[in-house]
Amino acid sequence: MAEHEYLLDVSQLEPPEPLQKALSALDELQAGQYIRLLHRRNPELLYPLLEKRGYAFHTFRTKEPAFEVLIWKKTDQEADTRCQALIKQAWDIKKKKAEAKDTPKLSFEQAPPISIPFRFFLMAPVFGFVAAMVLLFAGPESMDSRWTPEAVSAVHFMVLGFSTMTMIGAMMQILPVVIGTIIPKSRLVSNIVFGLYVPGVVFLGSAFLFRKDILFNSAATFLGLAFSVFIVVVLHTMFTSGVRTSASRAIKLAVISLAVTVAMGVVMVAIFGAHGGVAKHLFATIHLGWGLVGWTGLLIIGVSFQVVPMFQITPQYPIWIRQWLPISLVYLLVLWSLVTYFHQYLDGKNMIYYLSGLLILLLTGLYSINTLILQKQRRRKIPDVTVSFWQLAMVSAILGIVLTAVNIISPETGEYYLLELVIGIVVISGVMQSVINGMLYKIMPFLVWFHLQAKQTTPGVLPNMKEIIRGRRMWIQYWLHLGSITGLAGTVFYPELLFYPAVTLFAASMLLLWANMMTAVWTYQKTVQR
Amino acid sequence: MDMAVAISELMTQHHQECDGYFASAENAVAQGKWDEAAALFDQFENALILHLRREEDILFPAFETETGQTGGPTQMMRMEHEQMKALTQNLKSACAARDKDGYLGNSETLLVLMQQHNMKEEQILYPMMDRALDANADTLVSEVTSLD
Repeated sequence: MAEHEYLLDVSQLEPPEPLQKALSALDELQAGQYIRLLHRRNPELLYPLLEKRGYAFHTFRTKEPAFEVLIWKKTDQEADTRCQALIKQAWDIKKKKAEAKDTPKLSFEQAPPISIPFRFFLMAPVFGFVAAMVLLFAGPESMDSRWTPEAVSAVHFMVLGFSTMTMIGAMMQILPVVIGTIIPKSRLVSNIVFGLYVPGVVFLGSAFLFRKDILFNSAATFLGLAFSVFIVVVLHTMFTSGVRTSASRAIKLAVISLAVTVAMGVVMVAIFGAHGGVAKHLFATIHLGWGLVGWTGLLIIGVSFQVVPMFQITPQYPIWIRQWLPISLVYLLVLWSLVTYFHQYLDGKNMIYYLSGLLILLLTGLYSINTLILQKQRRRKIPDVTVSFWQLAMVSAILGIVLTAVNIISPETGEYYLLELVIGIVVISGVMQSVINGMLYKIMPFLVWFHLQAKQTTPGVLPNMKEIIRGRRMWIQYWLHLGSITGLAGTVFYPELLFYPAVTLFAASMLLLWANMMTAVWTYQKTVQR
Repeated sequence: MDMAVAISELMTQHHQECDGYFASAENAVAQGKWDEAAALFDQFENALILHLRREEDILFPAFETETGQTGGPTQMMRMEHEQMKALTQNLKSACAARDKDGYLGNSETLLVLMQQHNMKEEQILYPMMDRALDANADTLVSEVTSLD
């Protein structure tokens, strides 16, 4: 570097010295050499003189001193190559800086490889089926209350193994559409998360059944790590993307709520292990609030801001719902968590406890009603299984909200155990499973089509979405699902009569969902081989 | 024109217009009203092609010149436009052949493709255009609206 570069610092000199020095330096210049002139002003008088003498030059604006001028003899090939390279290098750096500043960064890299979302999706009904088996083997007593080991185990197989499993896979998929950037190193991230998450779910589900500390500790370790990686990567990607829409804000809040839910879960394992009393129930209630309303609720809400108006062709959600509802829910959850935890030290339940709880219900209720109204106004009138799943979810949400309100207000009688069970079924199966199930029937066929046409080298007819998963099969599964929710809710009141048929129906719905998803996979493989 | 309209606003409105035609044509096909469907489909196709031309002929080149990005987002959007046009051709043949299943299967696919595409434009690309093309937004808007 030094041999080729003649460094001349004139930034401290007074005129006309800089000019004189520069000109005399030209005479000392050897073949292949160039001058880097450091100057505190733009030496405009120098340029015509250089020009006249057959020298080329290029000026950079820098911080300290203000100007750097490269000077080389026009006829000197070697020096010319060197200087052009330096100029290009500086230009590239400048361009990179400009791009970094130009938020939002936009790559629109189409999508992560199809195997990334699909591995999560295909595992979901498997864990749903496991939940059914846990209940089936334990018999009707498993539904005596929501605290039986089998009920808690089945709930976690559902919310983690089915719902959150799909939601993680879907997040990896939808970020390019929502914020325009793909998750960095998506294959690696997905391998790590999936590899830790699946055993974590198995450990947790069995920990509740067998009450062993080692299982709880393994579950906390595996799930804690899997979620940490997922949450950090997603939040980092979202916060650096620079895109701020109502949907992306709600989704960020959902992921933050997931962090709270997971932290509470890990803390419960650390403090109580396989045991614990009333305090554990309080922790569990707060954990459940953040998991249901925060993580699941806000994610559904955020996604719906986009999905409902666009895919079902309805009017937009009102601005107050898009702007204020998600953040209000988070503040209310914080308040509600604090009073729920501390009211054990107070005499009786205080006003804030009722108020925060009921306000959360009111807001989610208004959201659900609004969604139903929008769907009623949809311009695309043709029967659509995904829309039916959404409507089922919203009706279930309203039912769950009303029952929860009754549960909060009414004094704790012997009956409240039953009410809690019904709420659990309506919310987990009726709301969460319905939305996810319905969305899978849009996402999976589309992704198969999308990746097939991206792979397509020779022109030929690709299967359309309705040939990838047949409409009739999806509708049969919809009715099985509806039957299983109704049956499970009825089981709470008529356990002897309804338990086995309802749980069997639930298992059958999971199996058919899996089979329907597999037809998409088979169509993909068959078409790729062709 | 009365007040200045932002590019994003104008183009988003146009998306919704296309959606409306799309839904009407599809509803007619589902009900087996083929003559009505053919007319409504034409309306949709014309609106869609006009919209794509507004982007490809006017807005994208202006954006590319202004930002120096030619291989980036606009290129991806152009690719998806081609995919949308191909599916629209499938719809046209299904409509002519009065093939209901063929139409509804392809329209389902087009709807999802079109909407995830629109989402990216409305959420990300149009706001970027509003910022990058701020100086000559008015000229561009009038160029876009006068194209037919």
